Amino acid sequence: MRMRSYTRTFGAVAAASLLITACGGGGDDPVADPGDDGGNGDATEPAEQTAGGEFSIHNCEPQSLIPQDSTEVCGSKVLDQLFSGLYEYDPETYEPVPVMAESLESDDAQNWTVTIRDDFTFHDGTPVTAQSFVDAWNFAVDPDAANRNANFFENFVGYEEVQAGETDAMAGVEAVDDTTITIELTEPFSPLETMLGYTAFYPLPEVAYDDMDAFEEAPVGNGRYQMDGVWERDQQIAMTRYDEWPGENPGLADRIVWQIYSDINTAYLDVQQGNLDILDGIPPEREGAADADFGEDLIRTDTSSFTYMGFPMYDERFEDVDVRRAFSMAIDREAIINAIFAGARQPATALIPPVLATHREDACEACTFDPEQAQQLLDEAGGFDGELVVYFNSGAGHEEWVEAVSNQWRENLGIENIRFESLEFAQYLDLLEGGQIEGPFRLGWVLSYGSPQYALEPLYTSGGSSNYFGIESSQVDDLIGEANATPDLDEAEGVYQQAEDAILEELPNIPLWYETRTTVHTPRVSNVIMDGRTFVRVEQVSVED
Amino acid sequence: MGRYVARRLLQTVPVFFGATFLVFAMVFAIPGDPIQALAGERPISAATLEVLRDRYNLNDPLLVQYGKYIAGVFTGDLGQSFTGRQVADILAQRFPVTLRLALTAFVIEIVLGLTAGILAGLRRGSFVDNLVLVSTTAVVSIPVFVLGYVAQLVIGLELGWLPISGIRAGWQSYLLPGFVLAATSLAYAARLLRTSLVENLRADYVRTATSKGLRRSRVVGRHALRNSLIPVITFLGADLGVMMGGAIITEGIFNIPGIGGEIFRAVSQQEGPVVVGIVTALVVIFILSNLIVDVLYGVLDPRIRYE
Repeated sequence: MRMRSYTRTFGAVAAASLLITACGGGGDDPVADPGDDGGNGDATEPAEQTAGGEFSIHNCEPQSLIPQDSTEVCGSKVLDQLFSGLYEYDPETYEPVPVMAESLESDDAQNWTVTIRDDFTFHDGTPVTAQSFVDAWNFAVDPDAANRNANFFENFVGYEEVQAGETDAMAGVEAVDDTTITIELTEPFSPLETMLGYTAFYPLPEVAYDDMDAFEEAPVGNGRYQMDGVWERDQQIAMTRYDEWPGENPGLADRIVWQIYSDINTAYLDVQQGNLDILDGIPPEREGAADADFGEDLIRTDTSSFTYMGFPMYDERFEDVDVRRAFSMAIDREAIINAIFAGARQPATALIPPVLATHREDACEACTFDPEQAQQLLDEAGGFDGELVVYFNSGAGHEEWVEAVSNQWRENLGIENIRFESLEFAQYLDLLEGGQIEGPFRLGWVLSYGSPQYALEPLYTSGGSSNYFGIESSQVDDLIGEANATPDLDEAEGVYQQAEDAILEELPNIPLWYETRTTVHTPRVSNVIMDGRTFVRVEQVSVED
Repeated sequence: MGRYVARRLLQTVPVFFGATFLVFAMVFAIPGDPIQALAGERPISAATLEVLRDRYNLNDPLLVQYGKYIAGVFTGDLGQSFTGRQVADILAQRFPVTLRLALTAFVIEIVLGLTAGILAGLRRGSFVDNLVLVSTTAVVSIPVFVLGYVAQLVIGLELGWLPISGIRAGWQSYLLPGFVLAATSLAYAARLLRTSLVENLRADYVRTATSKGLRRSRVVGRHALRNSLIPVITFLGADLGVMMGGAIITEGIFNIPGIGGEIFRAVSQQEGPVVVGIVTALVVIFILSNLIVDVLYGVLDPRIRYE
């Protein structure tokens, strides 16, 4: 079959996509250097990637395996292989790459036409049509289904009506024929292409709607891999390559087993013992020893996982931007990263994360450590009176660094009266939601799709869904609105950067750092690549034996 | 005896309602919206939130929630977790795993603990006695999680004798976590039996039996040991229940998909029905194992009667 021979030459395709020079692939050629992982950015000789074999990779227990309901990485990582969306993300640049999309057109960034390929099938053999997408999207918004990804469709015309239970289908989405979908948005939104690669936008087969609970046990997708058996709760999810998958870069390994762990320390030992091939994200306390334990079989990847200290701008003591600036400049991020995270963080110098092309290293002036100027700014603003309460959620490993940050405020700003308020996450969110915070609070943000829009709009626009700071700036709102309405993506990027600057002028939060993820693996696998979403691209992993 | 057993079983009724209501009230008392917390730092749509809160009766006051839950239980519906799984399915899948682990630990505890106790008790002051004293002291003073990690490192990773995680390797998977789970109780059981045996060997009835010219094996086996086992059985009976709960730490370290991990997750995510389901099952096991202990008393010492 044509498909099979295509799979065999995948080595070349995979290597080329890594921008590493590679000789022509062929599964029968001997492997040049089995010890080389050919991974992220190493300037070593590229290894040739071979198809076939089986490997295991760490995972956490998913909350859901229905794409429209899956909000966390444990489920999304698996769904990313079981399903193919209109777009996927380039592992190096995080840019959207078409998978099922043939074209996406719009004159005004508000009315869009998607043309899809007609050669994709679900794993049960039924073809994937425009209707498969439209039905899945309407299902996502259906209030009775209570899907947790519903609000990704907020700016689709008809979203409100469906959520209110007035109608079953969004008026703004239509399958014109088998390969054409039209989308009408409530307002212009240029990053649509990037958003359409997100999990919530995957198509569903007819069979799913018969019994969604049964479907979740073994989802039938249209992706590179299909379920091998059912989801064995808390144990494993196994999948095999779907050979009818017509896209570029089909999967390499024949079989992938996601082994589910509750404790990553155990997973770490299992990689050392050889019972687990890949662990994506080692325990923080192993950061120091990991190099010695794994040598070549270790990869460090920048991620979009952003940690910040937010200000309750509704509290008058934080009203003055100079106070907020002083708090930011009093923190020696580098020192904390080295002392507490063994270097596995990247100091934040912007709000748009370094995994995006739009990132600028020097966007945030107040992110440089300058204790003298910090003290001066605070003094000029009239100092800080009373007790400083620092908020964080408990039991998630934040205690140490929050204390370190607070110590720097004590040392560099002379604030002696500091109290910690650590709360369970549910209660924490309630306080944030209710605007009842009285001091700097810890939170994070991870990009679901790789657009600067997603790094800015939900957090910093007036009424934004995750705007816990209470920042309300018409300038910021206008700039983000303008960027969203700019059909030309390159042009839009510049406007997003202007919006970022406007937010940094206000400084509603202190950007602290971006997580660097350390992945370890056994010598029997190579070409282990992690993308900006912290997903190991398992379809590109090559098994040695 | 039959009436006694029936009365003991009837006692489970108030215990059942008491325990479940207590757990429900405690889960209810944790502040914050569990549905929102489950979605993490990204908010979910208001309509979705409302439907989910309604589905899990989170908008009702405590008593109504509890009433709805109990009504469900009596119609065979144990409710569902926030991720949409039937609690009955979770119990059916997880309990056998924990039970296997607890039983492995129980067997290890009985075999090793009783052997060590008997050897030490019979040869008081000998090398074996001192070895048992020192090693049990050491085991008791080391926290379980330290013991777990050390066992993983040495026996699993360095020596490669046993699997260190999961249950994929079949019954062998249970040996290492079973031993770690048993370790502390094993030490207590050994010392309890040793002390008890030493005392009984000095008792009058043992001297009488010996002076009657009975063989030592019969004196020790039929007389001294039989009486010495009574406090040990009490301990072991209570211990089986404790082990089911103690499995929380061990299961976490060894990545065993039993109830331990589930109850930890369910408590932290405020899933009332899941916590109550597991706790109820634990209560029943605890009651049953204590019942068995009480019945065993009668067998070991006919003077103990309950009617």
